[in-house]
Amino acid sequence: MERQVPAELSPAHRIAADLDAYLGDPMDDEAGPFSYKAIVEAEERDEIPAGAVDAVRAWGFPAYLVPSRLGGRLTTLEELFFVTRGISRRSVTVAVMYGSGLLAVNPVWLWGSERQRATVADGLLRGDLACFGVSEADHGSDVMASESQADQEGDDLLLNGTKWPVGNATRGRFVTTYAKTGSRDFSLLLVDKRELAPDCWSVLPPVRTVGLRGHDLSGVMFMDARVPADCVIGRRGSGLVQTLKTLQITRTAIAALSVGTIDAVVRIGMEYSRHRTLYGTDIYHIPVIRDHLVKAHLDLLIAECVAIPVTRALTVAPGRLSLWSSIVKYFVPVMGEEVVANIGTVLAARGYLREGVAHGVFQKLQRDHAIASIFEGTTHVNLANVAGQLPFLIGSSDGEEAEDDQAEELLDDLFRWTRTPPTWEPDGRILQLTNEGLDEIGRRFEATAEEVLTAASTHAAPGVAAELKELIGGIAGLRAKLVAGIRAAEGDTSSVAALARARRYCEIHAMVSCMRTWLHNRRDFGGPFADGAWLVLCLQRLLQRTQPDTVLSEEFLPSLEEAMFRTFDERRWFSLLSLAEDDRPVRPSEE
Amino acid sequence: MNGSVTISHDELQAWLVDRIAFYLDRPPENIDPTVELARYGIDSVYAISIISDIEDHLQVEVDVAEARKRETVTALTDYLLELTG
Repeated sequence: MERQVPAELSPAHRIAADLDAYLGDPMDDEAGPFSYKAIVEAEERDEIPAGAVDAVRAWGFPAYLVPSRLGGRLTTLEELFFVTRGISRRSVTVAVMYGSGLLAVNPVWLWGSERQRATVADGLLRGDLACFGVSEADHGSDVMASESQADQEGDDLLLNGTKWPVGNATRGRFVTTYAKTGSRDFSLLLVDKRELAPDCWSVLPPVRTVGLRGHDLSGVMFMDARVPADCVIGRRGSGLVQTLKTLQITRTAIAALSVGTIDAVVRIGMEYSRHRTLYGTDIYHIPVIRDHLVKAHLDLLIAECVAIPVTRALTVAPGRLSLWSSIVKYFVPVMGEEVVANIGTVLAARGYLREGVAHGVFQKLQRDHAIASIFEGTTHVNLANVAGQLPFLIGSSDGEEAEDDQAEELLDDLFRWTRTPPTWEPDGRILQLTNEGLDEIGRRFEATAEEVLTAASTHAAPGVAAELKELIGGIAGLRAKLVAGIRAAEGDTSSVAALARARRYCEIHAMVSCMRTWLHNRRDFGGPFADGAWLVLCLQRLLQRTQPDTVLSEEFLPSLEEAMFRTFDERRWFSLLSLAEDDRPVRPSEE
Repeated sequence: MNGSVTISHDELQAWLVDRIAFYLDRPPENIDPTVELARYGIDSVYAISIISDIEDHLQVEVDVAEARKRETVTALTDYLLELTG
């Protein structure tokens, strides 16, 4: 077959490369406020490096929080994900500062009036921050127990209550406040501190945290604060459903904190293992060290396969985000924590120091990343979301599932990196609280498996097809057992066993995501990517979660390691892209 | 029927669909009255809100456990009409 003009990657890749070049190599001490040297030094004083926020602003990051229709640059969640990944590999703290802001303003984009949208867009583009005032000290994830209240008084609302802990609560101008507006109803209020009388609100002192030091985590208290009744976002009484839907977007984006962190720690681990000499050779040659680094690199590739399609789902299949965002939010941060722990064993004593290797940034990355599995719905909250949907995901799907070719088209939009997702036109009503049993990724397991085996038998490297056949047979067995378990549980969706089933569902989702990523990109990528050896290794790696004795095929490791070392030497992002043939697919040029 | 029914099946069902659409933040025309409410994500939290709305609207007391056994809008409507009938 004649080679066609190489396909072009979606714009997210160009934007991320641009940001990365702008911020410089964090390993380089001269790289300014985003060098690890500056980051560690500032953290010792509980600060973000001087100039870091200005640099991010000057590059234009705040514009990525504002939809393009409102004058910003936010067109797809994929782009925001890539930008956030780029910042997170240097400083999760700075990424969280803006991420908390996005969480706060998304309800305005999704349900706000044109006036609210214009006010917030204008503020954000000028550098104002926003905060999401939902949490209360005594109520955690139990938002129905929230005590803050907004009572009608004439044309106004009188707001009382204390929100804590809240990111950006002190520095933020806009406070998206979750408050009771009726006997059973909660609403989200857009509170603009600038419009409040000075004596009716105050901020609470900074909260001392393990990580994210320098981030403004504090609280805000309202005492008979008079706000106009039209500060309610969307319809009065819909605060709970708005909160649940809004979280679907930022939950997906949080995976970028993990992927950025994984990239950073793998790089630090490799740097160390290639320069540290013990017993007469560099420690990469110690089998267990090599094993940790190879596995961590595979974990990063898996995280790309799992997270990227879901970021694209916001505009390709928004009705699927309730399930998929919870799968991503459970799976990727937990995997990130495992990678960080494993690299910690590579660094051993050096990982415990606040100096030395990469200026001792490892321990900071570890402490900062720990937030990923906690905020915006803990691991258990997200597994519970998945568990609650399981009974509907295994039932008959007659007439509900899209036709085969429609589903294939949808999957191509989700998984193919050279396709550009449509521009986001925020509309809260197209997000749903559940998938209603629909899941083109998980439910099409058999079709996916068949396609992979057919493609592998003619296009993959020698030995890959046979290996895939065996692996996929094993996964099919796991899946059958899971389906039987869900059926036997007869609607139990809240026990510990139900959460374990949800975990298994997420693992299988990750395996299918790897298979789909290979299927939809192998022609555009070519090279070792198309050979499929990486897919064998990723599936083996994922199977280790359920079958710890699974071993990685040694014969497939050299091409992976070659890409890993080359990416490291070239100081580029670790990515599936490193397995593509040279200069394929093309990175998009400037607009 | 003793003549005290002041609301028809269709009216009550339309009102219920409207309330449920509100809680789910989706257009009422996208709610199928024959689909289990749990499939849409109406969980225990929402169920209590909806049942309280029903009590206000129909001025009847509703047994939460009994009402929750009715899994669809249609089944719930039938049950409520029995109560008020």
